[in-house]
Amino acid sequence: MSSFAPSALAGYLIVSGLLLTIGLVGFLVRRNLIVMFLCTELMFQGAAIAFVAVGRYLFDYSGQVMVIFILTVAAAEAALALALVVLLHRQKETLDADAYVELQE
Amino acid sequence: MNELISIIPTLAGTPSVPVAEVLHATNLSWAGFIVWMPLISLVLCGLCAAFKVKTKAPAIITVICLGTSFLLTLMLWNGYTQPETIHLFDWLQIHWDGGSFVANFALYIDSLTLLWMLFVTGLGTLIAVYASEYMEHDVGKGYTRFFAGVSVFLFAMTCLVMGDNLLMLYLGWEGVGFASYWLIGYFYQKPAAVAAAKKAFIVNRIGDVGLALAIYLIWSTFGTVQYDGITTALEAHNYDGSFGGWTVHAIPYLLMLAAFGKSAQLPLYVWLPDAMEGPTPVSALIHAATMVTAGIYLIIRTYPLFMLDEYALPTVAWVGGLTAFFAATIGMAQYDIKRIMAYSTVSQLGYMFLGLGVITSYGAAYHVFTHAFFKAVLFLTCGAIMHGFAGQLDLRRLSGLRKMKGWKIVSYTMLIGCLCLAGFPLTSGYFSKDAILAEAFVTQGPGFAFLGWLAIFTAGLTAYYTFRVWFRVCAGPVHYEAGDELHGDDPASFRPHAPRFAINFVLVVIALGALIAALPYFMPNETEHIHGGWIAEMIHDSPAKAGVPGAVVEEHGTVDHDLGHGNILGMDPHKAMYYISGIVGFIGIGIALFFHLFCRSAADKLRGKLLASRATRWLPTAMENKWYVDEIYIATIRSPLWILGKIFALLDKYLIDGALVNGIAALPRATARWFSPLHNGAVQSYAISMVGGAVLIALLMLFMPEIVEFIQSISAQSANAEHVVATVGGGQ
Amino acid sequence: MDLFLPYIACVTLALTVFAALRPSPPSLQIAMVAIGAAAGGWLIGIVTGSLSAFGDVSHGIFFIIFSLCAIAAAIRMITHQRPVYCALHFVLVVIASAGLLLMLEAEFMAFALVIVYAGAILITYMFVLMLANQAENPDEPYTQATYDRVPREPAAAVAVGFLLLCLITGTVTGGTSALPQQSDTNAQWFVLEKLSTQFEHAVFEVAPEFAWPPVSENKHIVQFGMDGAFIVSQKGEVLLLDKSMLPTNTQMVGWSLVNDFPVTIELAGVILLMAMFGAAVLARRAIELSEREKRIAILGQDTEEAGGDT
Repeated sequence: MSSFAPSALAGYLIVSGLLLTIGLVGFLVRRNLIVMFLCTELMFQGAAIAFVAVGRYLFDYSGQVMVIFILTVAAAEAALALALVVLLHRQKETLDADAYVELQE
Repeated sequence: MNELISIIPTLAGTPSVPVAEVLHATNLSWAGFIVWMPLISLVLCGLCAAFKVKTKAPAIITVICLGTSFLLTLMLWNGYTQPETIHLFDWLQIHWDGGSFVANFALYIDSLTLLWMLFVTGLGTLIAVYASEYMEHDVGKGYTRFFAGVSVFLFAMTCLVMGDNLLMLYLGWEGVGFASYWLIGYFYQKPAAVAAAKKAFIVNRIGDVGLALAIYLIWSTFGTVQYDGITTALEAHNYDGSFGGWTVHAIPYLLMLAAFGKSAQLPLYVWLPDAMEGPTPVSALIHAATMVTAGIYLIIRTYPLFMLDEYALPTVAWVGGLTAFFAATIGMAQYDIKRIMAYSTVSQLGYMFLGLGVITSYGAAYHVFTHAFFKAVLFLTCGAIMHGFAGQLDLRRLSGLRKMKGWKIVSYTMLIGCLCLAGFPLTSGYFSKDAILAEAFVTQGPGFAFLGWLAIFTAGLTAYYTFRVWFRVCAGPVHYEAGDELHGDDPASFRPHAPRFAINFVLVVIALGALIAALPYFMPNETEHIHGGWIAEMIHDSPAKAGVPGAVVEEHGTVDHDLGHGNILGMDPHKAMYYISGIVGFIGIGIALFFHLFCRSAADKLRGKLLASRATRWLPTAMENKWYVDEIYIATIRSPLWILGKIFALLDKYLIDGALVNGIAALPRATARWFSPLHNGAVQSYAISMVGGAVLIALLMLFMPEIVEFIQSISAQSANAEHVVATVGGGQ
Repeated sequence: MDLFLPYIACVTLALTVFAALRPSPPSLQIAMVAIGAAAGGWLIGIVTGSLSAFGDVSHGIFFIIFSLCAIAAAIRMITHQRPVYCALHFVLVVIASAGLLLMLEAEFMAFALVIVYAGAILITYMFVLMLANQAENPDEPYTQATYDRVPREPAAAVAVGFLLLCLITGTVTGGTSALPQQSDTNAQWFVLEKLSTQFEHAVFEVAPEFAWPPVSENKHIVQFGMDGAFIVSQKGEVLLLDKSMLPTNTQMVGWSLVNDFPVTIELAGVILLMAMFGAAVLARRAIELSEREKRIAILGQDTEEAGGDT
């Protein structure tokens, strides 16, 4: 393995932070339910890169193991979320997140 | 002026009421019933009202109770030897370290009290009998209410007169004010009556403020509000006013204000003419004989306090004298006979205050006594006329009553009253007025001689307007018109309704009393050195003994006539006054005879001529319009207050209600409305808030040490420069 | 000034993302994406300092390329009108991040990412997108629905998001400057000690006569000299270790997974099982039964027809 300067680690973390942020903005901005969930997946990407980078820096493989679990959870979540989206779509015939505002005052 | 001050040391020299020997007699506790009988009458009248009694029972109850009071007073007078205090029950007893406030329900019986109580209860009983017939139209409607009012009034009046401390006097004072309000507003469906009742109460209230403040100051200066306590304290200080500072000088003026309010002097007299809206027995009892004399009684009771300030008594004299003149000028130009009698009352009360001011409490008390009788009879005759002619009181529309059948008693008792009021020689009014007029020239004081001449001139005016009434109404050709209370009957077929037994009987009794009241002048005195008859006897051992002729004994032991004796036109005032007042009275009666009996049209022609000329037009119009005093009060006092009230109403509506109360109430609503859009039910907007909050907290947590350092550096900078250096150096 | 440069880059990125989010012609959006990616690259450049920080300049170049790809694809993903294209851009992001993972010598993860994400999860998303995506107006079948075209409160979202980014930047720049230089590259040899069996096999392949087990005075059996890493056998033989003896990434991940996180593997399995059940239950189609059919379903008979005198 080649050596790895701390600023390189910083670079990787910044990339993961960027992906996280962009995913967050996308989640808050998009009104299509499915695309919202897609943006959460983007946030997962950011987290994954961060885990692996720090794990590499510290020569600890727990980072990559964590990414495996992230993948697992992401898959489970995607399945359930999409099932729910299908149900919601059946109810209101629309994928607009703003259609589900029964809790408002 | 100097003579006024020199009386005080001699006052100190005379033996005062032997306070230590005042008996707290329990065997006189039946005298308490003098006070309780009117109260019992009130309760029984209340029961009559509750059971909706439709007969004259309330009148009978009241007459019996008041008659009992009168009999008890007579018994008390009979057995009177020296002043006594009769303790009824403990009322206020507040003690603490360093002071106490004691005011018990106790009766202080001295001869002054008895004098007052005799005519209060006597006239009260008689007028109740009169009213039992006068108010018969209202049996079943307001009859009970009327007699309940009379009972309340007499209860309060007895408290006022017989109390042994100023608090009981105040209780009675307020009570008579309330009863007066209740009774003036008896015809409560008439707006004029309601307005008059309110006016009476409010103007009295202005005086009551003075009384309340005076009582506070008396308590704070003397430590007690009981009469004997005050007297003891004054003696201890030898009647020198310097021990109390400004309060001692303020007390007489405040008491004066109270007396002016209750007894209708300038500038607080405006309620008395309007009070004629009440039924006539009320006017006779309250506004002629008893309530309005409460002011005089107050001043007589607290006379030593008035001696402490050198300008107090002259002020009383001036106000009294000016009021007498002023009211007489208004009375001359009125057409409503009850109004004329009301202004006459104000004028005569002015005489009484003048008498108090020139230190003849004897004259004042005597005039109170005689005035009670003749003014009562005058009012009651006016009432009989009103009763019989369906409310007609205008003297232009009534004439020749003495020639009508059934009206002779009314006319001749009215004549007796008029003679006394005018001061016709050898009537009671003549002697009592003379006492006052003479003393105005005897006592040296600021402008007293001028006041004396003014009072003599006013006596002439009094004679004129009194006989104007009698000659117009009772003499001359027979002519009458029905008044306002005709209730729809045909005016042409109206027949006057002559008074019957109750009214006639009472009129005769009181008129006889007015005549007999002259006798006390001639009664010999048992006590040494004093003269003036029975009245002087009655007040010589009261606090007002300074005003009794002969009571003040100089060091040389001679009588008072050498005490800085003034004179009138070079003659001795007492002797000269007999003639001067008699002449003035005859002149007044003569003028009235001419204008109102022999040549009635001359009066109208004179009035016409005065109105025509621009220079004199103001005289009759101003006099007929009561010198616009009411209008001046409305403009200067009522309107600004009304405007102020409107301003405060607006402030209340917009500032307090609108901005404060409703504003504060609207705050939660507005806040909620402001925050409500946050709860829009959309997940993403909640998510934004969550993320924002989380980031802020993270920032705070991560950069907390820097933030703390920053804050510390700012606060250190403001404190001390060295600290900043140390912090910066230490932080690194 | 240097202190604020990263934050200025963050703000620039924020503004470009905001501009890209507004409904505008695609060319403008693409231009904004490009600028945004450049800003992101600038930020990364500021933070990393020089390309040689990655060990090799070539490594640095690959890193930049993959990062820019990822960022550009991510921004285009959140700003694209059509949901299917969003998913496709996400695939691009996945591939770019797989590239980054490869740079980090995590080959297994890179390929696992591509297989699982792009191959499974994204396919599922595509299916549901195709299922649920409908044109709003049947007369204009090629216009997307409003909820796809118009973003929701972009300003607040961008502000909040880039506040977070500034926080991360601040933390990273502040934190990594305090990190020590990565420990000696020789430390990678210590991973061998965890896989003792494999180590043994690898040693005997290279030097069959090497006497196992090796000795050591300190706790690590691998020692370092001027020539590199070596081990010392019982008999005193010295064996220089070769790079080929290092276990592969896959082996290491597997070792770590089973050795350090056994329970978590089981739980992950349970989660997946539950997800499967959940999806199956949730996506069932509900059928409206009439009253009669419900009665039959519950009671097992038709009481109406039986006369109903129970």
